[in-house]
Amino acid sequence: MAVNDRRERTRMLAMAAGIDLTDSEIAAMAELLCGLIDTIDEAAAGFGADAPEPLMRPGSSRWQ
Amino acid sequence: MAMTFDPLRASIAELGAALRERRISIRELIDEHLARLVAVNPKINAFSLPDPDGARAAAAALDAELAAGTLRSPLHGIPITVKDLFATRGQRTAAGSSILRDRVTDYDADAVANLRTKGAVILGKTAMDEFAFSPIGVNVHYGNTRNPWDLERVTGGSSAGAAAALAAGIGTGALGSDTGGSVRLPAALCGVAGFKPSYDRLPRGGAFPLAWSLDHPGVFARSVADLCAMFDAAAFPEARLGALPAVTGRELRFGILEEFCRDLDAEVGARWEGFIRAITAAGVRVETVQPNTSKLSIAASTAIMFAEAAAVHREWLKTRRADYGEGIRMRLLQGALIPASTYLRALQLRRVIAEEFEALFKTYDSLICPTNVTVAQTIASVEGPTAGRMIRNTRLAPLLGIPGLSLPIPGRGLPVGAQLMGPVAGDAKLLAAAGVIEKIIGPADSPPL
Repeated sequence: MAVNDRRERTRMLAMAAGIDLTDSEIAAMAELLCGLIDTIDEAAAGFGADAPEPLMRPGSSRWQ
Repeated sequence: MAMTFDPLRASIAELGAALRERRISIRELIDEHLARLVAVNPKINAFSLPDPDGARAAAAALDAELAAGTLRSPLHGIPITVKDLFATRGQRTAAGSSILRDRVTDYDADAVANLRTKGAVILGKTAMDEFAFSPIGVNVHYGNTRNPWDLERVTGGSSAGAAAALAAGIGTGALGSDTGGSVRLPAALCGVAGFKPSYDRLPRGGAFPLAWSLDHPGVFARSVADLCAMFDAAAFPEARLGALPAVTGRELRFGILEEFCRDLDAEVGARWEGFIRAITAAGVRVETVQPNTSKLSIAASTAIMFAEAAAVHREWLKTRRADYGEGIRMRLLQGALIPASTYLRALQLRRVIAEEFEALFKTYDSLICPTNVTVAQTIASVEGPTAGRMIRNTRLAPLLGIPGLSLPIPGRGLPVGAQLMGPVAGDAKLLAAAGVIEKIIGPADSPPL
């Protein structure tokens, strides 16, 4: 994802959270923050962490 | 030749015997440690709040009890330190922050109260990274803590002062906390032992939170036996270890976490190889394991830690933002922006990782790796990427709530730690295994400070 896209995404996340950020704060955190979110989303998908079917099986505790 | 009794380096058992046999009084013991504090602390900046008056008053009362035949516990009269994260009645507990600079509580944290009840004497509050939200041991408000092995180098954090003071011979044990490695990493970098028990085994009440589902109070000492004594004194009765199970080296089976042994600094790698040679020569069975999920531990831990920390600090992020150091301010702001869906997926990933490790612990008594990937870096050179490497091997245990400890590996040069992790609630068995390993590798040196 382009640098500007990640900055815009960070700006939108800040707006949604009601947090005021300066342009320099957005620039400083955009890569790390968006990278972390994408890593978690990809890992969750890759390991089926939030797929409903295995979570509904007896003994699963992943909802906790 | 008789061994020289050194009250600054003696074990809890040795000090207890000396106190009971009246070879030294508690007041004399505490004065020795306070004198060491006065002499050394200006070099290492390990204390946020020394408490010589409180320590001497406690010593006098405990001396009187001992003279009357009362011995509260093995920690009766033993000098310890407490991380600035834990409330102590009538004193400032700033958690290394400017925001709480004037916060004085009228209560003790639960672990502190338990330690006092058992007769421990608190020498003072130890320095830490701001709100425990850094693994380095630096603080823009109160100055950096310096490593007793090399004053130009970091101690690791966030329980920086706890590890530095103990390594320097101030106190016989220390109370700290570990959310991503904050006991085990500074223990490793300062050459002492550190133990983070299973989640909720030591009480968190009265400790300022960093991330509530990852926060673990923990203890520092110079030996496994002293870790056990410190733990039992800080715990509520139902959580105490009791007698450790008997185990021999030939009965132990360890899994080496291969991924956590990659990309080590040369000095760490060489010490680690020597450690593995020593324990295998003594009959411990070791095999390399490659869990699929261990590489996820950093991302999952970071998402959970940052989001929970931001929730704790949400109001201050609006009203006191300028009062944070720059690094923590940016981490908290990132945490405030993590979507709920990401936080929840990180919690679910934690369960996925836990399931794989629960299965591994059916085969292995302990999973092991170096605690530190690098030796202590110079204060001037520590930056974000370096800090990220520092905690690579310590995030897993608090993420899963499993017990983990670091033992110093003897050798020349800067300290290196060996990390042992066990299954949830396997604290006593893990400490028993660590005791066996400690006997095999022998004691580590003290810094030439």
